[in-house]
Amino acid sequence: MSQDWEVVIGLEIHAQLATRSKIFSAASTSYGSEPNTQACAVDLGMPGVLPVLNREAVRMAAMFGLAVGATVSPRSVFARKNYFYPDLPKGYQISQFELPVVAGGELLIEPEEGEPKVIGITRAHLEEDAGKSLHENYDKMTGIDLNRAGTPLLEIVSEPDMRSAKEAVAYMKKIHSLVRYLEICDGNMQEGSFRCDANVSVRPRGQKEFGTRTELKNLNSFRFVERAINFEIERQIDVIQGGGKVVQETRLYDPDKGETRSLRTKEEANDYRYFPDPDLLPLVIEPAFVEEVRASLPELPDAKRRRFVEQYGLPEYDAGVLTAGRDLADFYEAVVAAGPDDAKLAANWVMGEFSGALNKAGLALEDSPVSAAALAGLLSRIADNTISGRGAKDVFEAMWAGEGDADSIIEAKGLKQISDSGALEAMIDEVIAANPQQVEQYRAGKDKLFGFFVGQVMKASKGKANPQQVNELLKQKLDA
Amino acid sequence: MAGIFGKHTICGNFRALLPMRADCGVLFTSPVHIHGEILMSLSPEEVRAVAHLARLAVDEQRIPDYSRDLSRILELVEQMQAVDTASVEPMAHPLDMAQRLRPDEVTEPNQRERFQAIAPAVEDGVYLVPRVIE
Repeated sequence: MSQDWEVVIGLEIHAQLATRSKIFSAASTSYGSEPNTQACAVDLGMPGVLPVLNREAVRMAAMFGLAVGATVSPRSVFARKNYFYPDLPKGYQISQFELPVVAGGELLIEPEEGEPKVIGITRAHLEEDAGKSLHENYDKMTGIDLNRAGTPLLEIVSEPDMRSAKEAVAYMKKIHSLVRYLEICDGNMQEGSFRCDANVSVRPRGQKEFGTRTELKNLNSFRFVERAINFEIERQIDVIQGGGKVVQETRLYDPDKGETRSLRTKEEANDYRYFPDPDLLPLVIEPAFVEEVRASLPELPDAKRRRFVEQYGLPEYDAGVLTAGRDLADFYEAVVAAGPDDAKLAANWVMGEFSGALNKAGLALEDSPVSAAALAGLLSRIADNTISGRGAKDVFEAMWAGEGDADSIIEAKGLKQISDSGALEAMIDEVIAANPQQVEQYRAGKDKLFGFFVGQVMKASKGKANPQQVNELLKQKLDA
Repeated sequence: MAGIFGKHTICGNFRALLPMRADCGVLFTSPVHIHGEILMSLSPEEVRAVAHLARLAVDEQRIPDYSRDLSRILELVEQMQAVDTASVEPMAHPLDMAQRLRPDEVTEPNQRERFQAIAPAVEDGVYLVPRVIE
């Protein structure tokens, strides 16, 4: 991007709150059920129904507010946002407008490139989700599934504080991590539980006023957010440099084409005519409720990461990876607690083999075939030199395949490392005797051949020799 | 049309009809001078726009009437705006009570069959409506 332009980005994140029932009705929020089997009279906007607010949704909103250092409003008000669309049966969405439940927080982000930065959170408000419109499969008709209608959403609105797509992604990831730590949202972007719209504008560097912004929708992965924003930045700069003007509009990101395109906007599309919903009284949150929520807050990602660095002596990077998700952090701590006194070894295995196997199998951590205790058992055998690192990988694979615990697999596969120096010396002597030419060259100064001898000994031991001991013994014998 | 307030009288809040700017009051009412006083009025175009937003089919011949009647309501608002309300907390609800909260429990059974029995068109469990995108 050109040095002459400054990018201004604000994000609106919709997090579906992980309540059992809907925000204003007692219908289930579970995902993937048969269409319209979880849409009750309230969700359908039937005449005469009244919304009743879910206490759990309020508690979750308050948790988020406290976690980002915001004010949990003692009094907030629900408003009607009026627009017509078939997946919104009432003709309005119940949202919050002038008085949101959460106001004025902030979040520290650490983007991949650039300095750590504090991003302002303007507000977070409670609202209901709409249903789903299915435009395919029905001849000249649109199908409507209202199972999602009334699912509680927390809309989290940032200040326009981000200056690059990388910063926007870092912010989004941080919020994503946070809502999962708080267990207020499952964060599943494929299922739409965590969605993001980006407001993007550019201005000549040094200019105070913001440029005209566009709103990007359909950003349902971290990668799409980055790509869509970068595409949009280039597009806006091209428009301006070509003598044109950026039009304030909503644009849809097309992941297949990697571009944003204008959504045909009705002229009055943003004329929502908000007004307080007369069906709902003001939401009053007592200080005691806030304190109760505060006491229930878990250790948050930043605090946990700092603790991992201090308590386990881990590098920043490791601590960051391990604390990105609360479940992984808990797993790691369980491994350390049950395993050998080597927190770095545990970190390497949890981040490496273990996470790799989970990803490869497409499994959630809770469905892992290898428990923390089982992994700790394996690490103990590495630490006491029973098996080599190479052997440990085989053992892990077998554990993953359900062949038993580390000790029984080591036994069954005969992977126990040979640390008996008598046996190793015998092997080394054989290797030296079998390769007189290489021995001569090595002794004449061709040091590189040392690796050759190590390889031969390991081969002779079927990979079971303790490599460290082989190194020492070989050196003694060759240099003798 | 029964009356421009139609279903909105249910909520008793005529602001529902008026387009609002994101953060301030009425968007496109313009002050006009009548008999030397500044009055708010709603032009015929604005009446059409408001009717369209509310998806009300308005008889073109009656638009001048609506324009006049609605302007009178705005005049009333204008009168009220003369009152200093700086120290008054805006009322969110006529009842001076707080919202009651419900425990997070699923108690609604699946009643799809009953609801869909009165729907104009359904297929495979979804409600069908005229296509909304081209």
